[in-house]
Amino acid sequence: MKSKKSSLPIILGILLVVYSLSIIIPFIWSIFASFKNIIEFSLYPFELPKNYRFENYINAFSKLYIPVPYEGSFRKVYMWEMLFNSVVYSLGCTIMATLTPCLTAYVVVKYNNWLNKYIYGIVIITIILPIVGNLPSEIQLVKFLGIYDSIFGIWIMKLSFANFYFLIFYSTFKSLSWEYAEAAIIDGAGHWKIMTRIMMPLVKPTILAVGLLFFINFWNDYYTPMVYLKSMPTVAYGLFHYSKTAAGASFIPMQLAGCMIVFIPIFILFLLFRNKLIGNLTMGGIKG
Amino acid sequence: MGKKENIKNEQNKIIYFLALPFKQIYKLVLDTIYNIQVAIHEKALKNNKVKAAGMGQKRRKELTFYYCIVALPLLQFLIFYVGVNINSILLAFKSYKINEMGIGAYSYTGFSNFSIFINDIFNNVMLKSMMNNSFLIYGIGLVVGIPLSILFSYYLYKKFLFSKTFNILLFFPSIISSVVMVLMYQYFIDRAIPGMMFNIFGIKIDPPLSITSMVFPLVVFFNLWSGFGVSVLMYSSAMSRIPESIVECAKIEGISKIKELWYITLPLIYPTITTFLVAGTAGIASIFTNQSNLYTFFGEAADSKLYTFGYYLFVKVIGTKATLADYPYAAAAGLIFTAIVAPVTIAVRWALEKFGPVTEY
Repeated sequence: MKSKKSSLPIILGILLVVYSLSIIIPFIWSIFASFKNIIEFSLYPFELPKNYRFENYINAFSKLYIPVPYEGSFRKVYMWEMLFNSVVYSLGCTIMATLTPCLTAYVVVKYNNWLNKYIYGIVIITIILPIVGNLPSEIQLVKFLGIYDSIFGIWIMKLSFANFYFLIFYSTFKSLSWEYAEAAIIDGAGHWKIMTRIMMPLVKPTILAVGLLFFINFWNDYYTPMVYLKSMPTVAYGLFHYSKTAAGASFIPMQLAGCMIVFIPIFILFLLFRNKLIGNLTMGGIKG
Repeated sequence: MGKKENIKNEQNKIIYFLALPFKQIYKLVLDTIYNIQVAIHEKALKNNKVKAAGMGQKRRKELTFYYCIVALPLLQFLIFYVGVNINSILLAFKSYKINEMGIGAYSYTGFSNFSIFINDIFNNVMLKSMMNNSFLIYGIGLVVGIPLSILFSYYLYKKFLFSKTFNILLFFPSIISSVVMVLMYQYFIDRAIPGMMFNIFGIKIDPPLSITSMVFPLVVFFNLWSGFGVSVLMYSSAMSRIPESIVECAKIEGISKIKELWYITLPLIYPTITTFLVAGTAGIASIFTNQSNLYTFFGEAADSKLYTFGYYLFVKVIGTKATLADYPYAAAAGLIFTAIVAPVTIAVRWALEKFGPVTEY
């Protein structure tokens, strides 16, 4: 029996086309605008650029700066340093944020211990129970511990296991058989060796997918560096701050060039790992 | 298929072959080390130099390993979750005063922060508009955002025309920084759209974001528009877990796509919808925490009619005019919100689970 032709796909298709255009067009416009100089941009915002100038991009490295408090007064932080900060921040936080739930879920799944059900319970409660308005208390505590405005402080804050990704790793490890380890135990392998040389490689796809998501998230995050790490601005925070200063707010093409600089590393990562990102995060159930 | 796949295969092959010798050497080294260690262990066993671990020692080693791994995360949890929340509760009862010598200190003042805040809610005009905005944004996300996300996910799940392209395009906003999205959106609306209207239609219009009545709708639209990626990803992966057999059975009966969505797909992804409705960044708690990107748009300088609760509390703590004296007020407000939201969330979750379709597969 042939299924009745419904108009749903067509309507949705049109909506999706409209939506996609609404994403692509501003994006392409921004790319073109980043090649215009400021006068041309003010006069002709909507046309294609008459000459393609890279001066905005070059200037983004020499003129785009934000003032950072330093020993009583200010120093200027430019793009290269912000890029370096972004890499350090993103890489460090990704390693912490990915490995912590991964290792914790591993021992909870594979080893018997009275703590296991409490750890699992903590994760569930943390996810379900909404707590609002922690920011002032957190800032106070961070300052009290002396890790405010320190990259190590941020790394420690990311060393958290009680989140949704714990559950992802939990179900991934649950579907792994312990038999792989038993062969190694007979050969005299210790727990550490089993974990690093046998179990971790088996979950490499999940670690990669979660790590990529985290990295993209941290690279794009301007909120946390703004609150906790003012002296080491990342590119995202730098761009945000710059766009709000008097000098930057009027210099729109350069801001858009800065936007592209923030975006391009992520775009490269996205191209390289596209298949692994979309569709590799399953929570329970084995994908055939 | 075809050409594109071939080119990609070629590129992958080149990378693969270049990296191959290094990979092989690395593997060889690690395997040799492992084999040597195994041989040493067996020899030692043979010579009775090492006892094959007895039960007691084995358990002790296991426990040591376990505690080593969970020690740091648990400590971090105790400090940054339990500690922060306890401090938050305590902070709500304090107030910050600067004494004659200019030194500030916190002291306990009972429920004064709470009464100030509750008073503000009922009397302060700004807080009233905050409440309206916060609920409105949540409501629109609920009524427009969730159905649209589900519909888009359904389209991708059914692999209708151009699904692969749409999949990537829907995912795009979530890999672009919110700073970048906001800047592009702001300048496109303010500069490109007037320019376009003038060039194509000859109409001169003001930059939309400078018209005060347009700002709030434009911000709300932005939040909807940039938020599809994550929710579509969630629903898509939930839909992909639906067993094929059920769908095929329905197809044989000649079900239409809309009916299939309503009677089969939706009930089977009901748990995911529940989770999204109740918890997470789009959940009920977000009424009080959602800044809806106001800070990204305006920094501290958002017009007071645009405020939401989340934005208000954020600026109170982070803004340049924020002082230590504002912390207790914000903490008290947060406590009140939590006291409202937590039971409501749990109640809604219970109700949704009890009265929703029961599906197990």
